[in-house]
Amino acid sequence: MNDRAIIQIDGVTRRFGDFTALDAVSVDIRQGEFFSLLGPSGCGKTTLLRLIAGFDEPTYGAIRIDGQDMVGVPPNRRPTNMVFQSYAIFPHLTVEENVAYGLRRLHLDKQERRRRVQEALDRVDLGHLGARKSNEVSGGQRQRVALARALIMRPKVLLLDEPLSALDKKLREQMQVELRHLQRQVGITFILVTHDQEEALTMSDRIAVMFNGQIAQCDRPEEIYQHPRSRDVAEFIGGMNFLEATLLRQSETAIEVDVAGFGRAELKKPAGAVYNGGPVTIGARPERMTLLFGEAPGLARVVAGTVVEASYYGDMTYYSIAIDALERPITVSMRNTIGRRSLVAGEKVEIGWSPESLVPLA
Amino acid sequence: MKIRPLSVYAVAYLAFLYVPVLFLPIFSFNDSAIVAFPLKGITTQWYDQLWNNDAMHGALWNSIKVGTASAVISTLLGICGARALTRYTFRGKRGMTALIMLPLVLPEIIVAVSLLVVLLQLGFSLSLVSVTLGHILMAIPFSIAVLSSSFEGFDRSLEEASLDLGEGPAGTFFRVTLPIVAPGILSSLLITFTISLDEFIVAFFLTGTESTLPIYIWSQLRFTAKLPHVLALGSVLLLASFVLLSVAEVLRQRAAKRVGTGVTGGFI
Repeated sequence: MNDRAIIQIDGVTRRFGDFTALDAVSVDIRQGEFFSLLGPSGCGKTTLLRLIAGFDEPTYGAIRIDGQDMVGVPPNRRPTNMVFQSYAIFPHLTVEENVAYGLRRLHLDKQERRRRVQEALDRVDLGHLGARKSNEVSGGQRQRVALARALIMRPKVLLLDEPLSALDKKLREQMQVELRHLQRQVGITFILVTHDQEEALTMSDRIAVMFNGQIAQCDRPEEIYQHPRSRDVAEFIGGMNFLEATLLRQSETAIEVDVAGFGRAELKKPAGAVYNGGPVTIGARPERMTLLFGEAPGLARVVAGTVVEASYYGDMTYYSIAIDALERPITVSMRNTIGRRSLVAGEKVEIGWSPESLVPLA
Repeated sequence: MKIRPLSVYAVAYLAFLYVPVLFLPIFSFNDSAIVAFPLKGITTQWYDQLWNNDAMHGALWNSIKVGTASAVISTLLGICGARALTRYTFRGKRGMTALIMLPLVLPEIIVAVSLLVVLLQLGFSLSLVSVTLGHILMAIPFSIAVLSSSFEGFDRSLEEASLDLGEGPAGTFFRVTLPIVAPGILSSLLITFTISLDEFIVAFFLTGTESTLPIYIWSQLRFTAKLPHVLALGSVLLLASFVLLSVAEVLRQRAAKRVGTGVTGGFI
């Protein structure tokens, strides 16, 4: 991966009648990266993908692929290939014929053609199924056929429209790993559209989180998770407690706030954030705080509370804990490691936290 | 085994429907001009006579011409209609669908008489062309019903996938769209041809001097001596219709399977 932009989305707006599906979106996607468009349904992520593929044209703005303006270029002349949500496997062709479909235009000789098809099938572990009819293979295999059929074209960019949403959980997790592995292997830029935050976090080099036709935040997965810019992003990705705070002081790099129920804290100021004295919303991830089971507090500060409810998830337990100064209980998660007992509703408990537990939101 | 009243009813019902039809082929082999039991003996002479009858040949040829033209035109129109109805949503779609399907339930004689009046007013002379026009009208609902079931669930992304893989619009049509809907189109052609072949009332009102097969049969019924010969012709028509419609249904099911919608019930 390098920093060269393979795709430049430049002020792209797409309107359908009165509805604005994309609102002046600009983003550069780098050569060789695994890029995800993440957001709830209707946020514009699929529209953006279809604009890149050429199935639709922007109302305003420009899309450049490898430096070339793509406006008006039909999908069959774009250096992109797509894995469709429904996989769009041609039902009247065999697996092999599906994979070889796009080669017809390249006028390869028979041997080269067969070699490429076999290579593509082997790459997705379907080498033995080439002769099967396409309606005789399972959902997971259909997805691999779709992948092989697109990759055989050696596109500059591979577009994936919710490719894993039709698979069951086990298979989905397996395919996440395989897709990531495949992407590293072939070195092609992948753009993935998904509404599944976990999928985006595990697979991507960078994620663009979208709401209402705009990119709310575009960053590495760790940054998106640990330092969400807005309440929307924080809420969409993972669990988050929202706390009210008043701004006491601010400098170039830090803010000092008084957080309801928690007290004073000095926090790192997010780059580019502007606060003008009013209330500030603070986010706190459930796993960034800890419950003190009688042991000496490893974290500097402590808040007292009462367990309202415990939700057991196997590896984790999520505790809902009421704190006197707060209207609503907050959620703290604990890993169920050896020797740690479960708390029950009504128990008094101490929550350990540090300024690193808290993230100021814009 | 206990005999249930409903089973008895079902058997009686089917017998009432099909036994009279079965008499047709049976008497067509009867060695007598009188249609009555007991059978006198088995003969194929009526079929021989039929084969050597010039008037019958003319009527058959007319029917084939009218049937082919009606099948091709109503299927072409049906393709356009079914594609519009299954792919797009537009104002007045429900009303339009109802109007297109209406000839299925309109009394045929009313349709025939109104067509006759309109065509005469427009200065058309009656001929096989006017019969064909009438048959197209009768056949379109069937064509649309058959084709809709094969277009329904045609995944738009299949065409997009083809474009995405570098194929142009024309190539996409011939390599993806057509092969997938072809069985449906064939099925529609066969069904509409059969409808035209069997149709009597519209043909009776709209034809000029040339007759189609059903009209020829009707005209022969006036002569008692010709009855066995009509029975033979009727049997052949029956068999032809049965074969054509069976093939059409098999094709239609294959088409539905191909686009992955599965098969539910008959074609309407």
